[in-house]
Amino acid sequence: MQARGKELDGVLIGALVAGLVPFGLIIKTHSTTVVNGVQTSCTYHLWSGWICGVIGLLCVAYAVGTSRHRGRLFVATSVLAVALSIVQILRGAGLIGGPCNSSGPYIVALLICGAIAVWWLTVILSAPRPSDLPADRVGAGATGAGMGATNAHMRDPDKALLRVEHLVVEFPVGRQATVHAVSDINLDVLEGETLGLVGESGCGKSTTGRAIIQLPRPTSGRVLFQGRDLVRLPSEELRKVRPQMQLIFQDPISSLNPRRKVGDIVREPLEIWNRGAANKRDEMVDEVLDAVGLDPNVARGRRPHEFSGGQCQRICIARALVLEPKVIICDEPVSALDVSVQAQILNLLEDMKHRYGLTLIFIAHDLAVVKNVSDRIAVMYLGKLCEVAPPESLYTQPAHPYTAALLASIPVPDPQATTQVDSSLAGDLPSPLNPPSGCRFRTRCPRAKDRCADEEPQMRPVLGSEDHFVACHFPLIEAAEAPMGPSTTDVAIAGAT
Amino acid sequence: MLGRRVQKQENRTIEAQARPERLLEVADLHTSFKTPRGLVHAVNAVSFTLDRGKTLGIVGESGSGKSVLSRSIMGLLPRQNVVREGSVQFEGNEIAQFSPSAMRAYWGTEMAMVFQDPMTSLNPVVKIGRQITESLKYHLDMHRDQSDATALALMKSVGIPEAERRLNEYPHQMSGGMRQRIVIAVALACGPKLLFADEPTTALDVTVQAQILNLLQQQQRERDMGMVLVTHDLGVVAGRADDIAVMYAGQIVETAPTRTLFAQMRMPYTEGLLKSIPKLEQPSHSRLEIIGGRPPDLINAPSGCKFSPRCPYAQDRCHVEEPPLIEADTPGHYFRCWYPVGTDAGREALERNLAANVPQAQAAVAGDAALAGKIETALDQRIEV
Repeated sequence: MQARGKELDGVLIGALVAGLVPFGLIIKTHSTTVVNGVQTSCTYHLWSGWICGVIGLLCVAYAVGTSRHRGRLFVATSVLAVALSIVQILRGAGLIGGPCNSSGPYIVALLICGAIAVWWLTVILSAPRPSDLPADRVGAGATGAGMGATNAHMRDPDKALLRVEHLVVEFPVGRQATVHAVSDINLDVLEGETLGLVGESGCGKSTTGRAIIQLPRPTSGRVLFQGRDLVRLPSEELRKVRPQMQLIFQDPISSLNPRRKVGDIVREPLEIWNRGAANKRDEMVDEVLDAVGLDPNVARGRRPHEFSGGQCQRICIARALVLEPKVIICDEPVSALDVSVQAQILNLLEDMKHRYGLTLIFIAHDLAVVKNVSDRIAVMYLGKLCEVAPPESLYTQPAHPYTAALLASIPVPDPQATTQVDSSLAGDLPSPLNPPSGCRFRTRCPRAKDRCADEEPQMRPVLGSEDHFVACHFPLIEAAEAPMGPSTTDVAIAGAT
Repeated sequence: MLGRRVQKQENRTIEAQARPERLLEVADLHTSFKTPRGLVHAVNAVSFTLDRGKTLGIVGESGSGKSVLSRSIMGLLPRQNVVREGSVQFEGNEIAQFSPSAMRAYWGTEMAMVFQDPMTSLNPVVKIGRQITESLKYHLDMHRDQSDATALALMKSVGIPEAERRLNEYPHQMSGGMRQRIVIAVALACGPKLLFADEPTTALDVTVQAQILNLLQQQQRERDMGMVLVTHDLGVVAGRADDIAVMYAGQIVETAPTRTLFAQMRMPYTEGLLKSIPKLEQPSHSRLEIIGGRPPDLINAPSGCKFSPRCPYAQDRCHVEEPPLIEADTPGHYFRCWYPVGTDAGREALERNLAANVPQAQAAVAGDAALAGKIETALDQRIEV
């Protein structure tokens, strides 16, 4: 969809420029030959018109180039500038309103036309166009039915607390290039569940986590939290939802303001949201600091630099917990910590999950860590999901060659274990600027065949298992054929929407 | 020029014929840094030996002095504000008191180092080819065509595809894993006998980590090098090191052949490190055992055993009397502990601590994270007092 949108933008800009050049030439001839009487003011109109036009065009080009055309005000301003420029040029050339006479009606008419054009333009650019898409990529919300099987692993939408559908996150990086960070991902998390998201760095797992919380908003797709689509939610509404979803970051020290006292850092969310009576807030802060294993009397008055990395991560967890959120997205919370501290933080997250009834999305690159905390694991590779399974069956029976390679590359703290040199993965992650066709893992996959280059594998259930799904043409264990028609889940979505 | 080169090569063959098995012998090495707050005892009475072709894994938390140890042996520490005492013998030659200019003859040709961060250990404005050939030209007096050919062969041997093209590229054009391969190629260029790998994979992804560790192991076997593999992850050294030394607060607290260490560990710290690693074969949501607190301040280290404030086994004696390196039943296995793990004394000590509600013991056994955090706060306050 985005690619088609980009093409359209290019055509629009090209047409605009191409149309304006001969137009300008005609005007130039007119202004020099036909209009002679009031030279000075007409040249003024002409030049101001040209300058206005150039600015407007630059604005439009910038808006399209940086994919910010969703800001309707921005587009409106730039197109208005273009419209105004046309008026000025026409006036300068004496084609409307006579040479330098007041020509109010013309301008008003043109402005109205321009405004309508702007409105149309923004509607066209920002709305998803279902007709442009292959049938299996259409968002459930857009058509309701006719889905492929990329979401065979999705569960009953009524039970899911958080549901991510066809999430796409792309970042334009200039020169027409786009980083395809997350490409069409479907996930769901039930209440009280921990979803582990695992993959190498650069595979888009952190971007997925941030897109769920709308930082930044995804390029397309839906994020349903308690039945509301966060992607389409206006900013003010979204702000009201955010206290229920909190983030914990990788580097605990840099995610705390070094100049503020820990007590104030943890108290701030309460003040912003006006939770509890002002005199009760200190008690709430003390309670949550105590829960994460910090002595409130000592910790409250200190600043982050007086604490170790593990303690800072405890402070970050306390800050996330103080608003009593429903969902916490943990973005590599233990990657920067020592093994002994890592164990403390993992146990702490587990305790907090039970004490506060949390739902966790746990993002990490270490499969052993993810396995320890998760109820369900999704393996990501280059912006796509490879495999979704419960931890036990993922470990005992990995179905995707990438999962198997990930498992094989984890160092086992046991000298008896044989290191499998052959099964470790060769090469690096391909560039997300230009991901491989078909299956994205095929460039490093030992089992890749021609079919993998031509056809993108769909998520399908592994035979003999209810909750183990794999997106691979040649999985390591037998899998069912991908269902082609709308599955029962899809019909359920259609009914719900 | 040519004569010098021939002579150097001859020297190398003579050395190769009369090779002593003992490559490195470190005895009672102390390294301290002078700071406004006082002396930081980063390395404290460390002794170990390394034979040719063997790998020693040095394991410990951050701040336990493992990186400083490898840098002190290499003589890579700044000259200002550093106090270094003790003996470092390389192939029988005492090199501890060598000046940096004397050490230049050793760096690259005799001992080399692979650093943690491949992003910062290569010069960003010099082409890859020149960074590899630099030491070849300096130490082995190679000509340009010869050194280029050697660099190409090196890059192929460390597994870099399209090596010819890569020679003329800059570090930023490569991924982290590729850069670490280049750093390894630079370190191996002059055929060192001893390679220090200082957390070579900490900055890399798991899949790339496996590649780099396999590469190091393969190169070490082919070249019959001695290797010191410094890491914080017991998993990394488990399958790759012949011997392991566990460091804590600047001291070696347990050292043993790898299999012995894992099978019969005696030091509570080693046990804590191993048990706190999440393991794939454990079911999910299984409780991890934890060590409360954090490594001590190396300016005012605790009296007695350095690990005693965090130790679930600690008794009164541990807080007062520092245990020496005691030899265990198995040869080559040494540890510093009065109440070793896996012995009756250790079991009784742990039971006594559990019965007396000692928080360290409870936190370790129950994996209570909040309790572990309180221990850390309490220890911090004790340091301040």
